[in-house]
Amino acid sequence: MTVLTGADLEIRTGEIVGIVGANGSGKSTLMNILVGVLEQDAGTVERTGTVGWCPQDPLLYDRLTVGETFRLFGAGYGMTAEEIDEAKHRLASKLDFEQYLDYRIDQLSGGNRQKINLSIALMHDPDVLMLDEPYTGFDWETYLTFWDLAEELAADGTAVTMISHLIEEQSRLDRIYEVRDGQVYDVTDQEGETDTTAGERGEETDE
Amino acid sequence: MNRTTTAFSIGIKEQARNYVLVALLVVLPVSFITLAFAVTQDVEMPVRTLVDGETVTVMRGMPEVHGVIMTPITSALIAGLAGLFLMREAKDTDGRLAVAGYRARQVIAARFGVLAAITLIVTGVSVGVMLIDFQPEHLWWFVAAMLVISVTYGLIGMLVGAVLDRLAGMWLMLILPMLDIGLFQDPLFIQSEPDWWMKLFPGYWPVRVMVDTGLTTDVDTALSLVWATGYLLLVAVLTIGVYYRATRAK
Repeated sequence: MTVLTGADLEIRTGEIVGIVGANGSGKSTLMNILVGVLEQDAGTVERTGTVGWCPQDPLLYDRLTVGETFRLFGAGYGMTAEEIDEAKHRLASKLDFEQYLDYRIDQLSGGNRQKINLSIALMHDPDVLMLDEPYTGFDWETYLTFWDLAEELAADGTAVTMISHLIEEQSRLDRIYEVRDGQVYDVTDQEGETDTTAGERGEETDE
Repeated sequence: MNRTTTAFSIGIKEQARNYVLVALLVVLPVSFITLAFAVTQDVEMPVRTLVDGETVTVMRGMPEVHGVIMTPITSALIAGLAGLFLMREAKDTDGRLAVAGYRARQVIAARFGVLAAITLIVTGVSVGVMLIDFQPEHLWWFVAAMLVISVTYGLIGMLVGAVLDRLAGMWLMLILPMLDIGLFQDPLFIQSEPDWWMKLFPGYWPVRVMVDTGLTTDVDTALSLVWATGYLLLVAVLTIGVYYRATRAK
């Protein structure tokens, strides 16, 4: 089944880019291709720097504790034990899950599981952050904390991309791409209209 | 610790918390092997085996034959389910490890290492339980064939886990060792050589070795162990290929 017939976009350093679109339009497929867990049929994806990915459904190992989960992914990112420990406590404090560090993933509530899902994407301070509806299950305070974090990261030069459904948060986004009919349109300044403006540098893909 | 070692050690912890697997490890050997010895009538039965390269029939006690067959069934069944669980649980999430920087070969080495460790334990427990009631004539040849069939079934479990969901995979991995080892290769049921298609099953070569080295005084099936190892390597290459496709970064 063909989901995307022409997707051309770029994510620039230090900006927060939103990807919007109707259910089933191919937003997650697009992100999976950008991240590298799904192979595109055609076209190229260029990634520079380290990538952090927060998938829509928490992809975590149920029988590992939160601490073990950090250790496993931290090793993948090439972090030392001290760096992993520092990142774990920093994010646990920020997102308020310090009391659950010794809990197994399958013992956590949906919201706390999502906090770990997000933290794993953030723990190595990536250059490019790909977030697929990262706040699902968050309470209001955690939702606001998440946006503070995203804005801090963007200010530090991280390229943040997120799939979003909420109209009210579009004011927080620097640019907005809409996935529609298998195509990706830049709709940043064109509410309700379409635009096929392509990016100039960074990441692009075709399928 | 490097990535492979970290993923392996954490993978072992994860499997140790798989209570279904631990329960199978405790319950199945006793209920399959010990009960097989306990309830089987002690009568002499004709058994097909290999002597000096010829297929012959020898008379052996039925509990001994039953034990020789039930031990690999137990081990293959648990190892197969372990492989299935491992693949089902890791299939999607291991892709995230690739995004985090793990090379496919590191993830594969860690996962196969976990399966190897589980298989060693399963084989050890199964043979240990069997030894309470029965001592094979050539223990280490028997153990070698047990390891080969257990690892082969563990890998088949992983392959099944890559294509079927958990429930369908469980049914298949419960039935397959029973049919293969317990019916197609059972020397009590098949008094002549099994049909050609029965020889395609993973149990054919290892069970020949186990019947020979478990029940007769001479080792006549060294070549069968080589074929069994070849079969194992073939399944291993196939499984690595499938796993590599699932876990490599695109």
